[in-house]
Formats: sequence, C-alpha cells, structure tokens
Amino acid sequence: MKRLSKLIDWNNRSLQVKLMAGFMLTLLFVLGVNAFMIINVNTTVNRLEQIYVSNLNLDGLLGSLGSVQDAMTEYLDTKSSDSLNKYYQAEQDFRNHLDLLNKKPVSDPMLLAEKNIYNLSLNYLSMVEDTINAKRGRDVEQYSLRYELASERKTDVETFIYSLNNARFKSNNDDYRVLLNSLKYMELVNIAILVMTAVFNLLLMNALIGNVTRPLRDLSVAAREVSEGNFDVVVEPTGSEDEIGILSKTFAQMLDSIKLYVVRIRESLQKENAMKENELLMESRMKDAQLKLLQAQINPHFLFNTLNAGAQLAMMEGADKTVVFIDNMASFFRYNIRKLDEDTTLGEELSLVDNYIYILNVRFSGEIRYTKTIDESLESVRVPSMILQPVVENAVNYGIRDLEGEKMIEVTCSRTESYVELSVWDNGKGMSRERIDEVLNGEYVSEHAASGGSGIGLGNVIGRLELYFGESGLLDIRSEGEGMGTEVVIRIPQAK
Amino acid sequence: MKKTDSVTFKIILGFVLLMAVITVGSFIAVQVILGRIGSNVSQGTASAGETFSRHYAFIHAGGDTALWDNIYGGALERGRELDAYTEYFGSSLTASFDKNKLVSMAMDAGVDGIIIDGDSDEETSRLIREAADRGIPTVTILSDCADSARICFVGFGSYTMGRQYGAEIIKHYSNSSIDVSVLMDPDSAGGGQDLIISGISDEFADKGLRDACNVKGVYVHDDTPFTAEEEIRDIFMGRNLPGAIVALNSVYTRCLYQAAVDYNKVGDVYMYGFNDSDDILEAVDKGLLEATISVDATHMGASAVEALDEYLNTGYVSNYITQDTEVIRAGDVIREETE
Repeated sequence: MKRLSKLIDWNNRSLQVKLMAGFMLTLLFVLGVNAFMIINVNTTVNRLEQIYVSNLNLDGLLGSLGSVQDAMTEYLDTKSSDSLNKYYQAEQDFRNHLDLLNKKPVSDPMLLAEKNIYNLSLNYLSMVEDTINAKRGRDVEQYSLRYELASERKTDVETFIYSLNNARFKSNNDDYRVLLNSLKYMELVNIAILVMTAVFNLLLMNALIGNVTRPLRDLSVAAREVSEGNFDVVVEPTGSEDEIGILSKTFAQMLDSIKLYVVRIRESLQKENAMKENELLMESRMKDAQLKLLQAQINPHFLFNTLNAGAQLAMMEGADKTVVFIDNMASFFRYNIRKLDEDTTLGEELSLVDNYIYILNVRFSGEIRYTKTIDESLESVRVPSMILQPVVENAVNYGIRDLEGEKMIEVTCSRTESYVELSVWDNGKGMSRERIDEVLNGEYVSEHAASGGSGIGLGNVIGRLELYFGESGLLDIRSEGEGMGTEVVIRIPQAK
Repeated sequence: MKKTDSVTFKIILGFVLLMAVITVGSFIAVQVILGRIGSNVSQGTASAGETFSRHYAFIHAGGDTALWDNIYGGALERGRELDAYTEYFGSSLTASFDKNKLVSMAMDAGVDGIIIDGDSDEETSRLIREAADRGIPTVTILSDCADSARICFVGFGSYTMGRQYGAEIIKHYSNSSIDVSVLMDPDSAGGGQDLIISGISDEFADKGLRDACNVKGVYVHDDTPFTAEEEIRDIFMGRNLPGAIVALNSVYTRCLYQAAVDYNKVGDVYMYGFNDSDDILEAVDKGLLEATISVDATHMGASAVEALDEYLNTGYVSNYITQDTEVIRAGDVIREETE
C-alpha cells in the first residue's frame, strides 16, 4: 500500500490533477458499472434470443424432411431430372440438418431423441433411395411398396421431431422463464449497484472536495482572525504540495512577516517616543535655563552696558586695572547673554572660565590659584555652551569658598581614544560618595543654587550634555572624601 | 500521509474490492443461470448428461405402470453401471404407439438392444426375428415370447408362483370344495398364466385335495380403456361368486379389492393379489387381501440389461433367467421366499 501511495504521490499533485482524478475516478466507476450491466444484460438477452433457436433448427429439419419427401413424390410422379436434382438437393439439405444432431447414446432424453431422429432419418433416406432406384428400374411394385414404407418412416421421423420439438419448447419455456426471472433479479442488482455507486461517488467526492476545501476553510478562519488583529493564529500545514498547500504555507510566511514588521514598528515607535520625550525634556531644561537666564539677563544687559560705560570712564581716567577688570566683567556677561541652545567651542568655554576666575580673584584678592593645562588643538572642539563655567563655579562655591589657605582650581583638557576629557579639580572640602551620587542623579538641591554666577547647576549641565551627545554618563565627580578635593570630569565624545 | 487522505484511500480501496466481489459474484451467478439452461440450447453436442457406448430400448405393452416403472428403474441403473443407457422408448413421444410399432421404430433408431414384455402375438415374434437379423438382440421380460428369436427371457417361475397361491388358498379349505378364479391378461396368453393355474391345482392335489379345488382362468378383456375394472366388477355382480380370486397383476389386484369393498363382499371371498406397491401392501395389512405375491422388479430389469450386455460382449447368454417371488400375508410381515 505504501508503494502504491508513493506511486500515486497524491499529496504532491496539483489541485487540478486531484479534482480531475476524482471526477475521472467517479466517471470510471459509473462507466465500469454501466459496462458491466450492459454486458450482463446483453449476455442474458443473447441467450434469450438463442433459447428458441433449437426449435427453429428442428423446424428447419422438419422442413427439409418434407422437401425430401416432396422431391421423391415428384420424381415418382414425373421421373424428371429436375425433380431428381431437387431430391438430391433436398437430401443434402436434410443431411446437413441431421449433422447438427447428437449421434451418441446419452442420458439426456432430448439429446437421446436427437440420436433416434438421426438414425430414423438415415433409415428413411435409405428407404427413399431404394424407392428412387426402384423407380429408375421401373419396378412399379417395388417402388410403390417402398414409397409406402418411406412415407411410413417419414411419419415416424416427424413424430419423433414433433415430440422433441414439444419437449424442447417446454424446456425452452422453462429456460425463458428462468432467464426472465434472472433479468428481473439482474435489474434489482443493477439498481442496487447503481445506488451503491452513486452513494460511493458522493462519499468519494465529499472526501475529495473536503480534502480540498478543509484547508481553505481553515485558511479563511485564520484570515478572518488576522483581519481582526489576532496575529497569533496558527495555520496548520496541509501536508500537500498543491496550490492550497502552497497558499497555506505562503499565508503562514506572510503572517510571520507581519508579526516581524509589527515588532519592528513597535520598536520604532518606542524609539520615536523616547526621542520625543528627550526633545521635550531638552526643551523643558532649556526653558528652565532660559527662564533663569532671563532672570539674570535683566541685569547682564544693563550691567554689560553699564560696564562698557565704566570701562570707557576708567580708560579716560587712566585706570588700567579697572579697565581690564571691567573688560573681563563685560566679556563674562556678554557670553552669558548668549542663547543656551547654541553650541560653542571649547576655547570660548575656557575663555569664559578665565574671565570668571579673573573676576573672582579681583573680588577675593587673588586668593584662587587657577591653573589650566590645555591641548590647544582641542580648542576648536564643539561643545554645548555653558558647560565648563558652571562646573568651575560649583568648585568655587562648594569646594574652595570656605577653605582656609591656598585655594586651587585646575582645569585640564586632554584627549583620550574616544573622548576629549575636561577636568576641573579643586582642593576644596571634597564630597562624600553619597553626595556625589545625589548630585549625579539630580537629587541634591543646594542652598546656593539660586544665588550668584550663572545659576546653572550641575544637573542642568549633565542634562544638556546627554541631550547634545545622546549619551549618558558624560559627567563624573571624583572625590576621595571630605577635605580631599573634588574633580569633575566632562567627557566630550569625539566622532570617529 | 494525512489521516483524511488515508481514510479517502481506504474508502476507494474498500469500494473497489466491493465492486470486484459484486462483479465476480454477478458473473458467476449469470454463468450458473446460463449453465443451468445451457444443456437444452447446445443442440447437436453431447455435452449435457453422461455419454454411453450402448443404447437399449425398453418397451412394454402398458398396464401395471408401477411394476414396469420398477423394472425400468432397475434396467436403467444397471445399464449405467455397464456403460449403456436404457431408454423408456416411446414414452416421450406425443403420439402413442403399440408395442410392435415401437419395436420397429427402435430398430430404425439404431438401438443396440431391446427389452420387451413377451406375448403370444406372431407379429412380435416376427419383429424380434427382424431385430435379430439386424444384429439387435431382444430380451423378453416378465412374460416370454415363445418360439421367437429373443436371446433370453427374464421372469419368475409361474408354476412355482401358482403353488404359492395354492398353498395360501388351501389354508382356508373347510371340507367343501372351493372355486378359484384366476384373473388373467388376454395379452399375455401363453406367457405362463396357465402354469399358475396348474400350480394351484397341483398344490391342492399334493395335499390330497385334488377334487376340493376347482380352478379356472378368467380373461379380463381390456380392448377398450377402463373395461378391465368393469369386467372385474361384473364378477361381484354375478350370482356365483367364487370362493377365492387370484389377480395376476397390480391393476387387477386394485380393481379386485376395491370392487369387493364397494359391493360389501369382503370376507365372502378370499382375494390374492400381485405386486407389492404401497396401496396393495396397505390392502393386505387391512385384511382386504389374504396375501400378495411380489417379484423383485428392480432386479428383474437389471437382469435383462445384464443379459443384453453379456450377449453383446460374448455372443452367448442363458435362455432363461428366473427371479424369486415372495408371499406377503395379511396382518404380518412374514415373507416366504421360494427357492
């Protein structure tokens, strides 16, 4: 059966072949059944036609016997050569008929009767021949006597033939009845076979079409679920390689692809949302910075103009130190009134720090020792504005302001493999680890936050660095503890 | 393969097998039906029935159908064993012919041997002679055809049978003489019926009662159909009813006891029958008949065929083959066989 299945290879046949095979199969069954019924009926009808053939043969025998007798009588009457020829022909015809008869002793009474008829007929023919010969010899007495005997024999033969004919007719009637009955039964059997074939064909077609439509139905159910948004529907493989099998497979693949796209779109949306969130955050921080700046700008503008006027006045009065001081003040405030959303160069940031330290040293009598180690090639590196001065301001305010003795601030700018590192070190009072974490996480709010300087806290700097470079952890605070100084390191990512 | 495919495949396979069984079954059924009716259609061929090497004709003059049927049955069966078919010649013809005509036809039909019941007709003897001349041996049965060219006679000892009747009748002798009528078939005159009368007389004589018995033969003429019965009834209607009546064939026997019953003469006359058909045995059992004598008809038929076979094979056969007869008495089942 397995070999047959392999030979048929039903699963890998196309839908057209499958349907055609189904129709052909049912058609063949119907044709076969019809052919079978026609053959059976034909055989029976042929037999029906042959039933009375034996009677017809006997009638023929009887007719030819009569012809012999008539020919003999005619010859006896006329002695003509025509009648003699007729006799010979009739005799030959009669013998031909006789040859069809049984000649052996058998138990079947009708066949035995044929044997009797055969021998009686030969005897009769012999007598007829004797009569003809006597007529030829003009032996009137003999041919008259033999004619009588021949006629008597003829009557005997006729009696036997009639009897056999009767017996055959009776038997043939029985056969006829049997055949008619068998035809009736055959009709019933044929109807039964037709009904069975019809039922089978229905079952077969139902099974075949079911095989074809079942996967389609499953597929349509799956498609409906997919249309309702359920992409987790499972499409069972049909196991066949026909069009529906291919359709199912393709549908399953399409479903997998859709699922993948949905995941990707979801991820993309999440990213977009995150970006929008970032933008909003940045905007919010800028707003925050700008608000603080605006609060501060009222004075810087006024101060800037005032300082310019002061510088000119000092110049006219020949007070050079005052001019320098006021210039530094003016530069500081000029830088401060720039928009925070504009970026700048590292060089300008460092200049701002210089201005700031100068101002402070003037204020605090030069007690801050400020050193900077700068790789000049890095001055052109672009950075967000106002990221260095707030760090230095913090170092002053929280690190060294209350420090007794020398107050040191060191700004270093160096390059590593991927970053430009800006370091602001002070020898101030240092920070505990907890405080560092609070500051880095934006949880620490100082009491000095709103007073003096740019007013921009470290949290703001960290936020803008992350927004600008799209990377976190760019600002680090290192301190070995209380009184051990603090180093704030800003790492500027370098594009490769 | 998937389950559904497998089911479909099984459905197809099952139906194909079913159709094959139905086709073969129907084909066989049609062949059986056609085979059953085929024997009559195949005219000219001896395919139907057994084929034999010899063909014998069995002919008798009619009457006592049961007896002749038994004899024929014996001849047919024994013939089969000896590769010969015995035909009840003329029985299937639409016209009826007398015995001699049937013998003549049988000769023309080229039979290998003839079995007939003999009679005293000279024409029968002539036909037997003609048959012998054409190389067809004839065996007479039940009654002989004296002085004919028949090769053998198969019958029973009529004289002995007469002695058996006599012995039965003598049992009812009571000092006065008894009249015994023997109903005889005129067609079988000279066929041994006289010897029966002699046997009865001699049995009485041997017992010293020669004068106590007056036996006479009564021919029952049946030239026209059904007259035998009328003639037997006439006996009962006559004034001189014999003391005992002996019927020598089964037809006469039946007519005899039926007439006695109808005329209320049962017990007035001792009746003796012939043959052992069921109705005759019943009559014996009821006491209507004192006794009946039967012959083994089947064996008789078989002997006739054996005689023909022996003659055709060797050219010789015994002239007489005698069969035993047995007496069946009223009220019991005692059987007495003759030697």
